[in-house]
Amino acid sequence: MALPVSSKPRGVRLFYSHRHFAEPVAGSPALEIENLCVNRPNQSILALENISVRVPIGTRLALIGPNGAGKSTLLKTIAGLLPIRSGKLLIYGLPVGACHHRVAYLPQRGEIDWRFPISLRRLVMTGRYVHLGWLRQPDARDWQIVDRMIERLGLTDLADRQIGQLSGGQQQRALLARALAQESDLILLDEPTSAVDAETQAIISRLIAELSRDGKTLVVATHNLERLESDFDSVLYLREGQQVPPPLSAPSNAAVQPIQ
Amino acid sequence: MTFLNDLIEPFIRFQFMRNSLLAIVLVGTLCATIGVYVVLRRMAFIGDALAHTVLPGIVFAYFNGISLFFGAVVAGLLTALGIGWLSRRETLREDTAIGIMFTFMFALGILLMSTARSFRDFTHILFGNVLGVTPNDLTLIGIVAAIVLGALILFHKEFELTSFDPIHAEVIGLRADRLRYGLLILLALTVVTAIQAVGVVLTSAMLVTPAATASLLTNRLPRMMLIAVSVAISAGVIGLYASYRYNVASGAAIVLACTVLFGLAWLARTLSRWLGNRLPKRSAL
Repeated sequence: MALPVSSKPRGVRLFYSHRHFAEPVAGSPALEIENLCVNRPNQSILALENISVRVPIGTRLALIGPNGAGKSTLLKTIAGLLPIRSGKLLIYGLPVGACHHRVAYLPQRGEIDWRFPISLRRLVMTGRYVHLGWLRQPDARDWQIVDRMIERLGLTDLADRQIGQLSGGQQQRALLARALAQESDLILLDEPTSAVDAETQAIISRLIAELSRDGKTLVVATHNLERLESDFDSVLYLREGQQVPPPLSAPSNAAVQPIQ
Repeated sequence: MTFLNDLIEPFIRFQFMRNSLLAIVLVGTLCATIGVYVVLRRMAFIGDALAHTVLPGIVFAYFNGISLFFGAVVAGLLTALGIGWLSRRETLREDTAIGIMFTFMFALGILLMSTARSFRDFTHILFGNVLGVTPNDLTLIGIVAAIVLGALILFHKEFELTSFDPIHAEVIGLRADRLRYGLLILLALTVVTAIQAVGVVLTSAMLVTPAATASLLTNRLPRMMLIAVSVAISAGVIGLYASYRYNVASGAAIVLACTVLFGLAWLARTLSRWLGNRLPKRSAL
């Protein structure tokens, strides 16, 4: 299978981070984590302890656990938002932040100021900024990608709406459209289906399958245990910041590989 | 035509009226544009705070015989950096950091002032007079306006993104903290320049009221900036004219004109909502 690896952009660009593009290390998995320990923000208490997981390219990993188990912390660490205390974390064989546009992150909805005067279409466009960098304005191709992703998530009629005038499910889909507009290879989703309508749930489920077929790698924090077997290739169970064996009630489908 | 003649007559007859008109147009454009960020990022008191924190800079510059404006700019920049540093990584909320820096710098200014053998009150420097603007002031405002507006245009997409979604900015390698420092520095330059021309109250009003008015009328950022600038300039012209015609304080007249425009926008919005609820929905027709 051909690797769906982001291509190097052309033209003179001033990227936000000087480590904007790096070739992936051949033969490495999408995500490789070994004995990862992460502190809680601004504290010296561990939020994650000795996590080890390997996610091959093109597979889907679910993160399961109660609130406060460390699902969001793990996603934020992979996205480069939290510093690593110890252990190893490699993305396509590269350290965190080595290649910003290879990783897209869908935050929980509460982390965004939805009252800000910006349209859905422009919100999705912020997904292209990593490719634009300083001083460069989006061109026709960027808008084309944005409109395609908006259509893919069934939001075309709402494209010009201010983001605060969208329903929770529509906001979630807008964020997902942005993550897709980034055209990254590793996609991190923090509870994409929590507190959203049935339509959004169905669209997101379908999308996760499509993305995986396209060779994208997904790591998804979720509460939705019913869809675990159909939507994911493997599951990581977390409790109080530690990796735990699957609970007895967990689905015992062969497709779900608990990682020890 | 007589009405129009009446309106432009003071500006044709008096050089100082032309100067103050130009000053209010420049200050209004500058403050209203950056003011949109002040309102959207919920830091409405930054103008007032920055205005007071320049005091130690002015006193220090006076004692050492340097330009008072230079002293004020340095103090303003130090305040901006102090606020940015105290509220980095959400250790403190930004409004708390503003409160701490504001009182600290002002008290420092008073302390410095009290060490002078002959007590001189520097606080009058905080209350500029738009009718007394000199050509030198105008050049200075023009230069600062070009710098600040240029930066806001060049880095528009970055300021926009970090204002509503700093987390996405961090994920793509854009340091939201640095953009915040940048915005605070632009604000410090704006406020220091504006207060020396038009005073504290008018600067604070121009930062907040036109932007707040615009935020009632649109939910697009560039349009919001354009409306805010129009409101600021209209209020400036109305206020200046009223101060000439009825012989009232110019700064106060401009602030009141600003507030009246805000009131009208509020009324328009309330009415349109009320009508919107009363009228049948299109799908029902």
